[in-house]
Amino acid sequence: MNRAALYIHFPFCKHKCNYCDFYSITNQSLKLKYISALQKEIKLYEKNPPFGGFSFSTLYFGGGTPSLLSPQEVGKIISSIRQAFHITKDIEISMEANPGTLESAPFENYLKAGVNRLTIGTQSFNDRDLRFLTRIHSAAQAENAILSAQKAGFQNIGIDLIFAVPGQTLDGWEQNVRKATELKPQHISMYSLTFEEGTPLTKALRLGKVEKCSEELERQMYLLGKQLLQNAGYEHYEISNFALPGFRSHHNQKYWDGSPYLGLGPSAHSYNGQSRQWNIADVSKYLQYLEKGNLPIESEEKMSREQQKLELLLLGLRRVEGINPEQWEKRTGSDLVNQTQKAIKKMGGLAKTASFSPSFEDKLLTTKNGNLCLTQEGLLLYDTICMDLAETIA
Amino acid sequence: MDQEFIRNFCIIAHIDHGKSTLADRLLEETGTLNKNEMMDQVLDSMDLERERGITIKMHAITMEYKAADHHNYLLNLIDTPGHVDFNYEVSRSLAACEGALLIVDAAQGIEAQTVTNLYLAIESDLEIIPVINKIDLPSAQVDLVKNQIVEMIGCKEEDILLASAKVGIGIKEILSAIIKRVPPPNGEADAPLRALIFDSMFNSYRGALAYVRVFEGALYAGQQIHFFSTGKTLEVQEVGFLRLQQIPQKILSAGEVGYVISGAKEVKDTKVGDTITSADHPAAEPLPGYRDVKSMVYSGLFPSDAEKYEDLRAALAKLKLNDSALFYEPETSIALGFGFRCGFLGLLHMEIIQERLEREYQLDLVTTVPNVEFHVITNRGEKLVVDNPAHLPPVGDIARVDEPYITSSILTPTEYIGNIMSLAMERRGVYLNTEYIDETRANLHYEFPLAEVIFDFYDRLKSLTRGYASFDYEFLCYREGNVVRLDILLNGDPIDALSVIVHKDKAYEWGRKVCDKLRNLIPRQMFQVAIQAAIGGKIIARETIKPLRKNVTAKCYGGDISRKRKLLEKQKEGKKRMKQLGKVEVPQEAFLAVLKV
Repeated sequence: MNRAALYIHFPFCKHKCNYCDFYSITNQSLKLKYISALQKEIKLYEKNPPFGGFSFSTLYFGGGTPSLLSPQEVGKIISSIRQAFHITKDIEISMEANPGTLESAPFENYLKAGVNRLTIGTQSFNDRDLRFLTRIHSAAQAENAILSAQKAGFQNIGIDLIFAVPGQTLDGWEQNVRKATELKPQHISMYSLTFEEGTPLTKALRLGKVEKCSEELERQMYLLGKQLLQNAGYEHYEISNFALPGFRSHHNQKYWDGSPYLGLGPSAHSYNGQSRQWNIADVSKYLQYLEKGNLPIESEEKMSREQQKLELLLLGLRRVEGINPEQWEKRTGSDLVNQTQKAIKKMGGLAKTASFSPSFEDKLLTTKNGNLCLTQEGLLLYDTICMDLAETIA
Repeated sequence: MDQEFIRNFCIIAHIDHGKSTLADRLLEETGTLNKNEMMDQVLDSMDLERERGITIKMHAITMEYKAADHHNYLLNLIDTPGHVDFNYEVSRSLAACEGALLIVDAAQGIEAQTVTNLYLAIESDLEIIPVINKIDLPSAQVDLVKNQIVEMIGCKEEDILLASAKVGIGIKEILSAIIKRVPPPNGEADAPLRALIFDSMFNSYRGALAYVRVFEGALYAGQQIHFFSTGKTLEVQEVGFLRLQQIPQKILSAGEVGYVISGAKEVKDTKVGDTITSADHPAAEPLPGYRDVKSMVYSGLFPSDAEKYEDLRAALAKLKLNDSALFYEPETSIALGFGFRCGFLGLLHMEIIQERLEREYQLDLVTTVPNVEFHVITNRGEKLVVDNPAHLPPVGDIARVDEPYITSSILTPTEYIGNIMSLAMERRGVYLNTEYIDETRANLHYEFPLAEVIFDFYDRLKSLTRGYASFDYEFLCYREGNVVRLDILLNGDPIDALSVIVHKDKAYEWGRKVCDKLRNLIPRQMFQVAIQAAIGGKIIARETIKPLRKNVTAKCYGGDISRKRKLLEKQKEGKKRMKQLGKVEVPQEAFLAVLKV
């Protein structure tokens, strides 16, 4: 049976941060209706192949701010899921939590409700950064949130850090990362600030009110952060993700290895192995669909073989371990090594700086344990390399 | 038909002076076209011609007209193009006629091109019927224009007809003047056949169609005909008159204009300017032919998708069938791959060919900077003809480079003379003299290096004179020029498709501008890119594109994958339009941008 991932999108926030482009609204009056609609959506998939037939080994509450759900509500949703789907024994159940919403609910109650992994949206341990990002919490609250989660008994805690925040210095970033390692969460995601379309931050950038930090500084921050985390015992396993041994995010790894996933809630995406579908990004419409007993799907796309191959490539290269040629051949029916060599030949730019051979350590692309992967330099230029490889491989 | 009742005429007019509209009125008045067939400006049959309001290819049409004397006349209108690039087409139509309508816009007066064509017509002994058109315009200055015409051709004021083709004034008068004033043809019907090919068309079902004017003898189906210049003998399959469609006739006799289908497979078999005679009773001498068409401007045309090379070849071959002025030969560029070096009559001709290739044949093209043909004398005394900067020998081997000069006339309202003189100076013009046509209009005569007028000269002239000045030129001679080849290098590798031959004094500015443009157009790459402009081994300008240091999407989870894949698909498409030059990827826009330096 196929082991799939299950994602629940909780579309409410206390406040919308200026850089965030995930779908959420700040009016929480529809929260209860949302919960019952979500349970209906879960029910609709119960008998609905192929998702109904999958076995789920991860469940992830994302958002939005899912920590606005009470432990009881979380428990209710989890039990609906248990009723509808086949769930593995060792299922990883993650929930995103905002340090600014946690004072009310004791952590241990989430643990009791079934959540066994908490990802805390700390973003920074520097108040100036947090104000710039319009976060609703302080650095002290972020720290406290981690400490109380640990105290409550969570043994798998992840945090997020954002770098390349305008005004941030390399020193400031170093202190940030050091603080994170001192607190010893099991998982750290380290993202460079992205200016997404349609966000207030991007608008401010266009108006010249905000200045991006330089590419060079961004690069230094990435390399420094990576070094500090690795020195502290964290394994680098995806472009932006680090974990202590044994604590990688099972859920997110499913995205990167091309596993199927079912996404529930407004705006959530699903992938069944051949095609992708996504729910409508609108709470009211989401409720209307489900009231009528319909799936709230906005659209779907059937993917061609070429498109699936392209996705496997772009996802696989995000992983530090890279792509396994045998698995690639099994999934795509094509020869990865051969095609990469062809691609490199075609990419005049890369060809001069890298040559691909199974045992050779190159500048951008290399092989490790037989897998094709990006070097440290290659990871920094992931978008460019994907573009170059996509031309030939997929 | 008795030659007494045939009139062969053409129309000489500047662009926009209303020639096509007038032609339409004539067709309407003579009932050549019924209402259903009537479409604005029937003779401009290409979309492009219609859009640009110009006639590129010559057309011919026969009208039947019952005149006031109750006789039926055959009026053959042979259309002429109005743009400076298409001068040679004009002489072709003039040779087939006995008369010409000279159309002058009542508001704008005589323009430079009209003058040139008028003199060509006078030299060919054509009867000139001057017509002032658009007299209904509020800005019409009929008396002033009358004076201009009288000055120009020495006719009487009362010989000038007044018309407005748009509203239909003066059309009958024009028809009756054609009948009264244009002499009928007077070739001998019994003499051996001599027919002049003044145009040819390719039809995929019937092969090459020759448009002919029969001067002496007769043409008929089944006749064995001989082509003087090609030496071929073929059998006539069909002859006929040219209406909107071809109207088959039993015979085309002396004085008549029509088409001949003879099983010629290619247009080159029916060479424009050639004389057709009878194989059984051949004429001793051909009719005087035309001067050969000479390309003035050259440019490389490359398919942006290398796989379309064969399509481009086929398209050029098809265009060539109906456009003997188009020249092309295969060219290979390191930067752009396989393509063609093409020769054109001028810039407009070049633009039109490019547009037709793109529109009618759906080809996506990359073109190189147009240049003229240089004559290079090497140190060993050899003379090389260079129409491609890549073929210019190394500086050390060159003794001298000669460049083509033109003699030109610029007709302008006097108030813009100052502006024109500074433009001419900027373009290395050699001032000859100024003629004043009247108090307000002058004709400036200049010699220019042709290379200086093929770049936006016409546009600059128009904008400096608020559109009032007109420009005409013809080839003069080759003169020594102080020109150099300017190369553009990317990371040290010269990019052949970006090389140009320029005047030494302008090389620095050109190099600086091209480097700057390329800096903005070439995306950053994983390594530093140096853009340099060089003459010989000497670098005269440089720009640097910094390498990418970090370019990585931070997050890619369940909801991001589609978006990321679609972006990659888009970039993949974009990459197809990139040219790999050495290590550097260059978008095609870069090649187009240098055309606009």
